[in-house]
Amino acid sequence: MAVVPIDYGDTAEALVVGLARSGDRDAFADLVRRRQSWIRNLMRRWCADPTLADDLAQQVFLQAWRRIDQLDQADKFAAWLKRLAVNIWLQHLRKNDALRSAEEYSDKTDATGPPPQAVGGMAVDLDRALATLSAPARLCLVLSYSEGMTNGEIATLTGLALGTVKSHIRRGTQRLRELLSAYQEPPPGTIPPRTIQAEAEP
Amino acid sequence: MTDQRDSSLQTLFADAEQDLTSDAFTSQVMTQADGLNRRAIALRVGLALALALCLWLLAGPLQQAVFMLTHSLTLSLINPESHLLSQLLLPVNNIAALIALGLISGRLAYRKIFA
Repeated sequence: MAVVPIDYGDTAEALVVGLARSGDRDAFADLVRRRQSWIRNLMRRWCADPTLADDLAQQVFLQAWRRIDQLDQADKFAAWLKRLAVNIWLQHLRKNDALRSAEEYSDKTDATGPPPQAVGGMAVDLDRALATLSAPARLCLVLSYSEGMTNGEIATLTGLALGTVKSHIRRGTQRLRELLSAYQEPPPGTIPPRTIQAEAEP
Repeated sequence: MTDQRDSSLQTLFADAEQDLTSDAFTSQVMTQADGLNRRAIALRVGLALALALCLWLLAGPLQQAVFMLTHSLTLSLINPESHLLSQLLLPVNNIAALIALGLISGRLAYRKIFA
């Protein structure tokens, strides 16, 4: 006889987290169902590769399953999961030595990266534009714009210096503005930035 | 602390969010979690078996070593001819007492020198 998983439906997340902490597999599966879209979106913004993003998101949930008994406050599950996601992403970068190399060529890439085309959907374009930035800049920008975190919170979470975070966000914002100008509504009475770019080209 | 953010980029990030919820992803994660659980159980059983095997193999030699140690600690240092004297000196006339005295005096000396 097949075991039917328990449907927690609208049960409060803190309660489901408590059950998962006590080893309830179905409760954890429910948490994965609830939080996967958020974590997968975050990972996609960071790595711009849906397959890799899903692999990393899986690692996040597996680590959560292994360590959920260490979570002190059930109502802080989302923040804890986000910290795990950031750590997994940073580990991935370190493994590939991407942090160092990204720092080395970030300025060059920021200046010469190809602009994305306004095709294939906004998410794809955003991911492409983000991919032209260095990995730490991407991390900071996504935490700032997707998660609404302050510079101080980002610095604490990522272990980067506050000044570095500010600089990554300032330069990254500037770069994204240029690359995604097609999506930004021009102020009334002005020529859209994309047109200006097209006219400037020989 | 409030940070300045570009509002149009903020809207763009919000609009780019997709609903990526899928049962396939959940079942993949849970299959891997089950694998982790199975590996953890197998590891614990393996360790318990290895410990039991070690204890079984080493029980004889360990018992012998403990017996030899306790026997050597109770060996008399001197053999007084008088039975009464040997009874009186019994608590201190052995290797264990010598070691204990050595440790106590060493500790006292250490305190005197370094305190």
